Amino acid sequence: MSGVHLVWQAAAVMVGSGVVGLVYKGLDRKLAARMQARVGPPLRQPFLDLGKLLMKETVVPRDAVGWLFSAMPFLAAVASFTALLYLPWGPFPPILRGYGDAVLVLYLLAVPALAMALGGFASGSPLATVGGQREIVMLMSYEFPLAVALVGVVWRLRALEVGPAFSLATISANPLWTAVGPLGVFGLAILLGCLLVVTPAELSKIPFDIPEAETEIAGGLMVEYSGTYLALFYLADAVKTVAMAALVVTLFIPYGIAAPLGVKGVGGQVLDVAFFLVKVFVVMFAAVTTVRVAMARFKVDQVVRGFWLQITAAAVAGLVLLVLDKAVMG
Amino acid sequence: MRLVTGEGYWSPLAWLAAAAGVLLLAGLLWSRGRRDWKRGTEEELPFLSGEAAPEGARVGGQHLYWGFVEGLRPYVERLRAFHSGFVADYVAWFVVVLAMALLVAMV
Repeated sequence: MSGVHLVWQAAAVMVGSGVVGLVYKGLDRKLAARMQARVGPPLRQPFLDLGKLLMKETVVPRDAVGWLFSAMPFLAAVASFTALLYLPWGPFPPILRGYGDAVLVLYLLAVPALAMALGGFASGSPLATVGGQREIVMLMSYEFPLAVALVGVVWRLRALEVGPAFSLATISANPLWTAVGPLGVFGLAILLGCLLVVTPAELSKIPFDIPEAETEIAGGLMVEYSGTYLALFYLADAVKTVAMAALVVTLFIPYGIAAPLGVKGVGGQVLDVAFFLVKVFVVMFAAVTTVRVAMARFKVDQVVRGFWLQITAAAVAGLVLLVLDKAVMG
Repeated sequence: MRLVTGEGYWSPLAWLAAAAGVLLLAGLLWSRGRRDWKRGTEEELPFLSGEAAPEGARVGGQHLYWGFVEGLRPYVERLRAFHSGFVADYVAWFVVVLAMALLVAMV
């Protein structure tokens, strides 16, 4: 692949994912409103919000560590957008396949949370510092089950000897559900469940919006951000939502629809990309929209206990089932 | 340049190149927005719902992991009990753990 082709593809994925992320944000808000018997904002509201933020003053607080406060929105955007380049897009393998694996994507997905926490600490605001502290504690809590879920899939894939197991292209090309026995299917279902619980925590959405918690700490780590910097965080959040849902799809639902329907060529590729985007939306709707409408916010110590004990125990149980499946199936 | 870690791999240079591209796009967005504010006014003060921020109002380092400590208190308390403050105790733990690790490695 030529360098120009690579750059063109990367730019298309970045701009496309930015647009898709904002459209999904609009859908999320609209559907959440409908579930609460409200009309809700128009679908294009996130685009209007982004435009509005660009017209607002971008204040750097007096007590802030200026360069750190200003750099963190850029870091969050960089991490969110670059994570997308390592993920497959339906029938298309990752743009940067061969240059980074699934572990790198996990790290990149953790960086926006760290950037927000650092930005909060750097702002010099007591409310933002509380939010930053909560974000760090949350990060320490959900990363463990997330890593166990990934390791479970990768370990079972490695046992099948289908190629570099940590490669997301390999994971996407080799769905595990039909390659394992009943124990393995049960184990995978548990890991998928754990990942769906981790998803809203990774995205700091209700019931895990503890670091922002508008009603308690007035936006927490975002309280001092405004204007263009807030717009960058807003965009990074939209893109990270797509990246996280795309990771869930890649690990557990990497199936296409064109082949079963007998559609080939460009039409088949378009159909598979559309199906991929639908799957990403379904994951987001199931793990974010419905959950945030149905639940209230947890307390941070409840989140720590839940992730370190119950969810991690469930993820480890899923991993053990996969190991047993390997022992039975060979 | 590609770093291989046994099973995994990544290329820092490829990521840096991608990061530069995103920075360019983010810079374009940033250049479209306003970068001014009313300097030297109340705008610059931290938002505290209209309250005046008391001097030195910060969350101290000892409270950084409050949620973690509170959520897993029995576990943390048990860990704390190990920290007697005597170097000899820490060295003893180190020797025990090292012996166990060597044992596992040999098996």
